[in-house]
Amino acid sequence: MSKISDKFPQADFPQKETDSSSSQENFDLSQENSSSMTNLIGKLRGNYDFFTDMTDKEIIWILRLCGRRSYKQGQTIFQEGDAGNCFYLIVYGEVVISRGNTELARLGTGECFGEMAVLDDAPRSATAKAADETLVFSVERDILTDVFPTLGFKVAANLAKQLSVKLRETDELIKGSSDTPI
Amino acid sequence: MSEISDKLSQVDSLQTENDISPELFGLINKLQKNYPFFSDMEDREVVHLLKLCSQQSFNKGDEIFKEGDSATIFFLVVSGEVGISIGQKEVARLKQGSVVGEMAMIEDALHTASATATEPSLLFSITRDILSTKMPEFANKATLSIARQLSHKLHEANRTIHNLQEQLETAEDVIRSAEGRRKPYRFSENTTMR
Repeated sequence: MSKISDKFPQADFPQKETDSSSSQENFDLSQENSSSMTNLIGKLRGNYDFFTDMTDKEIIWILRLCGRRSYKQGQTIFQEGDAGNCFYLIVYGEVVISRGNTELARLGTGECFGEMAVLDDAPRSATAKAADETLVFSVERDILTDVFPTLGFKVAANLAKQLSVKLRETDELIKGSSDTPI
Repeated sequence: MSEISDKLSQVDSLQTENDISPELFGLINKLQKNYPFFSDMEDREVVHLLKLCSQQSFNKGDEIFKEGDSATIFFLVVSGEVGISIGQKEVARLKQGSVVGEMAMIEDALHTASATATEPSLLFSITRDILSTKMPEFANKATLSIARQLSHKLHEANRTIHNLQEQLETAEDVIRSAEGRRKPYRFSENTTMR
């Protein structure tokens, strides 16, 4: 395995939420006990539901295992039919999910996408594009089964929760669209 | 499926998970083979789950839960079919192997839809204790099973939305071309009126 610092170089996360005075928030995952790391963990736990019920150690695990990718407005993150081995957490920005010409969902900070292909072990069923300057964490499928069960359980529960919200909203949309006479 | 009830009573009287009878093994294998919910679970995990669930039969038309009810359990459709509706509108039909009522449980919220048996149905009702962190490996598998089912349902719902969108576009095309045809007609009508 490559050095963590290669995979996850000195980060300036989260760019959008900090002003220039806090540029010392750069962190290095090789120094897990550094104050900037503690700071980052606190921020993730405080601002992202995904991390709320996780311990420091678990958050560090996820940070170690995830990649960071940034996209410009209009850039494609993945396309319908692509193989899907990771899901994404939006650190900031906005992502549009569509199939053909149909926009299926618009997701913002703190929301996950791409989890369906990961759970189903199937190709992407829709296309994801950045609708704004967007930073995402990409998390490999392995985290659900191969790291350790308590973390897998928490991640799976988070994904299930988000899926449930999406399904509810989509059901409402279906209900609404067929209520409206054309 | 009445065999299940006999074997479930065996499960309840099991002292340890080691003295599983051959018939019970049969049931366990059947569940693992025919119900995706169990497919990743080991025998002892299926037994653990069976201990946490009870079975309920519903006649056609029986209400399983309704919008606004609190959710302490969720269901697995062992046989039969369940209709899910919001208000008067049916949004989904769930068959054998599907999980029902898991959304409210996962979100720790009230049911936002109603569930009704659309034919005579046998359901396992499962308490939320399966998501207890006391057995993390088991909870992990159970949660993944639920997440997978949610993903399938969202796939279906997205497909429905996509189809509705296409229908709408077709309808708009029809209207547009109909209006295109009507315009000269209107024009001639107007001219004769003048």
